[in-house]
Amino acid sequence: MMLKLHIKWRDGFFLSIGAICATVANNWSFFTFDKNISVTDLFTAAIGGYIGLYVGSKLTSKVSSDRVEKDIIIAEINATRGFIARVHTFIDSNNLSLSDAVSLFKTASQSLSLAKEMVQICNNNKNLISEITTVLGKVRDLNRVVTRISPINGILNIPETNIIQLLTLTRSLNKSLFNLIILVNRDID
Amino acid sequence: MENFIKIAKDFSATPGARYRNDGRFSGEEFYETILQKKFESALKNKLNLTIDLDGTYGFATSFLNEAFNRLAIDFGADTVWKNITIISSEEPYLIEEIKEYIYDAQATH
Repeated sequence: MMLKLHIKWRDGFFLSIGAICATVANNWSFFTFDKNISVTDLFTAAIGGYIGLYVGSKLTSKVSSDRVEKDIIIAEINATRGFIARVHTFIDSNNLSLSDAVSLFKTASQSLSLAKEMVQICNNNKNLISEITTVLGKVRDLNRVVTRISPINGILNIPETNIIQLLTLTRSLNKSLFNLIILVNRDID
Repeated sequence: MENFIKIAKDFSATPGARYRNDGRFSGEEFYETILQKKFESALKNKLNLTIDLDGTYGFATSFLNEAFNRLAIDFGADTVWKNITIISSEEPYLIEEIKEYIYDAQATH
């Protein structure tokens, strides 16, 4: 069988570098090469290699599971952002129905509460839990302001002067939720 | 059960706003058709009235405020709070809100 070798200039270059390094190492008195390997050395090398592999795989696994947990928490916070964004759009067009408002606020609170529970389960980071609790309070405060307004034919009758104020609150809430995502990603202590 | 109200089942899964003229399933309607009578009956029979808030699409502040504020005005805040049990696993913070509405009634009347 014919064996075709495709040697490119790159391979030649690396082979040359390898040969030079071997020559230098062989002639340099700092290194002494012994052809005999003791059982102890072999054992030490094997144990060292095993520990290295074990630590490496554990670290990779930890980093990977932390990332998955963070992604799930961020997804819940993002869901809350989505609900608040819908409230914002409805208020902006002054077309927020009472039924939409109560249902959006309920689901927004539930998503954020779920994110809080996940943090408690995953790493119980006190600062992060406290931040989420604060934002959860803001969602409820906004809910209480909005769903206190009387509806006309099912649509909340928001006075024009209050629209700007409510839009400012929803924007501020959105910013707080965004900051939460950053905190989760950085996993503050 | 005489001393149990599940709002989603016994009244509506989509509770409305404060007054009857705000639309269907208002807090006023809930108070006058269910809550007042059930609470009165529970008191008479020396039972605790349990109110389950789970299973609805959510509550407007105006609905809860109207229903529980009026209950406290009619029966007294302490009597109400001692004789009701609120179940709200979906929105646990509503229990504190309701307590607030009950004691607000005492402060303003």
